Amino acid sequence: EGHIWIESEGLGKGCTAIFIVKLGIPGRLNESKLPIMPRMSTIHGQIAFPGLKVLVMDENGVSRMVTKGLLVHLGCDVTMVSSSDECLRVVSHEHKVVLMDVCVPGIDGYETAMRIHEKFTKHHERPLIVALTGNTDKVINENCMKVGMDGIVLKPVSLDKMRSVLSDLLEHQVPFEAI
Amino acid sequence: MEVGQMQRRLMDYTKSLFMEGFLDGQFLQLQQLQDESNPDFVVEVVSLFFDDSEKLLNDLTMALDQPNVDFKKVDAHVHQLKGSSSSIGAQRVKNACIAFRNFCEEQNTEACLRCLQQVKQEYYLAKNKLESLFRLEQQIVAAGGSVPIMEMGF
Repeated sequence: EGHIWIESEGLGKGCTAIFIVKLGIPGRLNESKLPIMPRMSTIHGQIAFPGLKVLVMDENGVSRMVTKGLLVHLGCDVTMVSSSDECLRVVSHEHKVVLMDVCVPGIDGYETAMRIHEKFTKHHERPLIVALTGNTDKVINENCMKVGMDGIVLKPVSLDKMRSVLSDLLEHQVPFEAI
Repeated sequence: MEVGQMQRRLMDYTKSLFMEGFLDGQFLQLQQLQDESNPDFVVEVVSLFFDDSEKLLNDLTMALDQPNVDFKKVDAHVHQLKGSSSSIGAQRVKNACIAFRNFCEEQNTEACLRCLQQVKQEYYLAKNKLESLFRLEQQIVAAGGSVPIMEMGF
């Protein structure tokens, strides 16, 4: 049921499309029937993580800046460090996720992950640890699992991949409250 | 030249950089991260890449000039350069680094020197192309236009 037509004043004067449609009126909203708040907020239909505190450990300045840009774009609150020592000094129970680069010769991401486990004895206080690596092979995968990392991501990381990694990670955890 | 023409020229130029393998999808990712709160993100990251890379290339030249080459050190530098170039989508630089690392493993000084030449060449080409790209963007903005967003199917 409806009608659509075009009106114009003439050639070169543009035209207007006009339509008439019949719409329904939604029933009264009952407060108690509202759905439970979703864990992750959606902005423009895209998942974002407002206020999620993330610690990024990466020795490479360029790669660090790109990772930060990705996370900031997703709404995260990002802290960056460039060494394992700095990482262990800075990491706190406020950080929900630690993203660490493990493929740099000389920086031992694995040992850092183990030390993080030691530092946070209560499971729910420990940040989730994700390895960022330039190549994955069986050895790297096994090492990551052995030291108790919660995930592995192959660099370079795309926006979509970062979004889905964070969303999967947080899904398996107790729902976090946006700060 | 009016804005529409400049925009088309930019699109064609950008497309050619992808076709010729200078840039890969990662560069598009960087452009996606640029927004009102981060309006110069791409230029900032790429500028950091230029600074970092030139330092690394100097370090590599010195390291390979030693009587006893420390291949571990050389490899570490190339690894960094591979990481940065990969992060911004500078595909040909990245590939040159991958080849370089193989020769580091073999501890082959001659081959490494050749690779260094190759990497330098690719780097300066990439730098040139990216600077031209940014100049085109600046011209559009200066003329009051907006920089078109590239969409590519891969």
